[in-house]
Amino acid sequence: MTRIEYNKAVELHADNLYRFILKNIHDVEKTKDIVQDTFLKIWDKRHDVAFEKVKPYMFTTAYRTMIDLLRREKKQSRMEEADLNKLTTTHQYSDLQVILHEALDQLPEIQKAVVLLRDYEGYNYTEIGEITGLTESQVKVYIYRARKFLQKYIGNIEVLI
Amino acid sequence: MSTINRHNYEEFFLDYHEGNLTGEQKAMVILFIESNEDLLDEFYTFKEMTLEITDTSTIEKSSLYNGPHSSNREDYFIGWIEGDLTSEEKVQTQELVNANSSFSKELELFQKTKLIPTVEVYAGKQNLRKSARVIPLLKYAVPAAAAVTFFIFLSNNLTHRNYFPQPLEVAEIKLLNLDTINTSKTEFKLNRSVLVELKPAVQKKISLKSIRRVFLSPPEPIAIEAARTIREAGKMPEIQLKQVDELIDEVAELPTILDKVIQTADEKLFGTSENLSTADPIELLVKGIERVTKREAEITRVTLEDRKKTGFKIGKFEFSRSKRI
Repeated sequence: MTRIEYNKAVELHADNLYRFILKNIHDVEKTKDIVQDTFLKIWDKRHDVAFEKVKPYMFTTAYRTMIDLLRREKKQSRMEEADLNKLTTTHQYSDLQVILHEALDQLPEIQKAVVLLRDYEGYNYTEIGEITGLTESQVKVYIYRARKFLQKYIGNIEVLI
Repeated sequence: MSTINRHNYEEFFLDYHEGNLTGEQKAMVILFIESNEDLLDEFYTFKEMTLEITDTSTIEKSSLYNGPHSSNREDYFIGWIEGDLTSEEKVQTQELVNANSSFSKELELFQKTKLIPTVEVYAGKQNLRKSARVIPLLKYAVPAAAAVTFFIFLSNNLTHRNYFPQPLEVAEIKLLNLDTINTSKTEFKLNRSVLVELKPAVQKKISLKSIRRVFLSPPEPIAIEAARTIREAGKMPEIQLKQVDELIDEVAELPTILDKVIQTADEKLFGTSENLSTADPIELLVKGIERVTKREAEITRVTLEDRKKTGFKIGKFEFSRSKRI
């Protein structure tokens, strides 16, 4: 990857990467650190990474950095399944996406990550697997579990309102 | 089937009760029992061995069918929105939905679970970009230390000459809110550790607008003591304030220490004074870094909100210049 291609990658993908990490950890400063750290690593490895492959490489690097951070802070969810009992009922919702993102935050970290990669970045199961270190089947299972939770969550909200 | 006798009667008894015998064979069995009454109880025992179906429970066969059904519909609904279904499965799923209105609502809810990407803008993009000839931010501590030490040794009149054996990786320099240098006493800090103090580098305002990228000729002598210390100890050597003060006294005949540094740098390092575009210590610092690393460095000016603090950055390390009374 040339310097020009690297800069193009910054232009094309920095926002997406920032958004992906921010949606996962909800900490602007830490997100900025992860994004900067990721691009530093990419710059270091620019001779080994083709421009066409830089986006998944970037997300892989950022994801792993994020996971390391979460583990260090012991914030990683140990839940295998999201808990529908945590359903918040005190708010009035008018925007489905707001509800969905609230539901998203109640998913286990891994399910949240795969859904974000799927919906925001449009990655297929194989690509998500490469980024997250999961098998294709595991990715699919996590996405399906997440969808079921999200569906029930918004279903309950619709009943409430 | 052969004639019944005491060696094969069990087979006939079983077939009799299961209804597998002809009328003639049944008669033969009856006649055999009459002539062998000791086997009568056994004959009836065979009758009792026939099990009758008493459990009428059935399995939900729909769950065994291939394709979407009420039990596995959620997986098919998700598969629908994920684009995982074949065209045949889509048709089957649609038929299932059509057959049950409540399923239609479920599918609709699943379709709503697709997240619509929000727009988030990473404000630091400009800092991530690399301009031509910019040396990447790398392993900061050693090069940063080398750079500052080099400047210190430039100030120290370059009494020692040697060659740095290995080029170090490094460094992009950014000036943080360093619009002017107007310090009566300048304090250089590295990671909260005061390294050195210099007496007036300049007594007047020096515009840094003229700062630009600098280019250097092949490697030249640098501050070997600092370099050696850095390599061996892995940390910044301590510089005594006294050394600098003494140095200033020594060059008292010159207008400022900076003038002396520039003159020395011109003569001993850079060949001619034409190579120096500005009387600015930061530019000297850049030159020092470039000499240490044998690569080009670039100054990028950055405006910060906090104007109380001035300084510059080499990688992660911030060097602050604060006025001292």
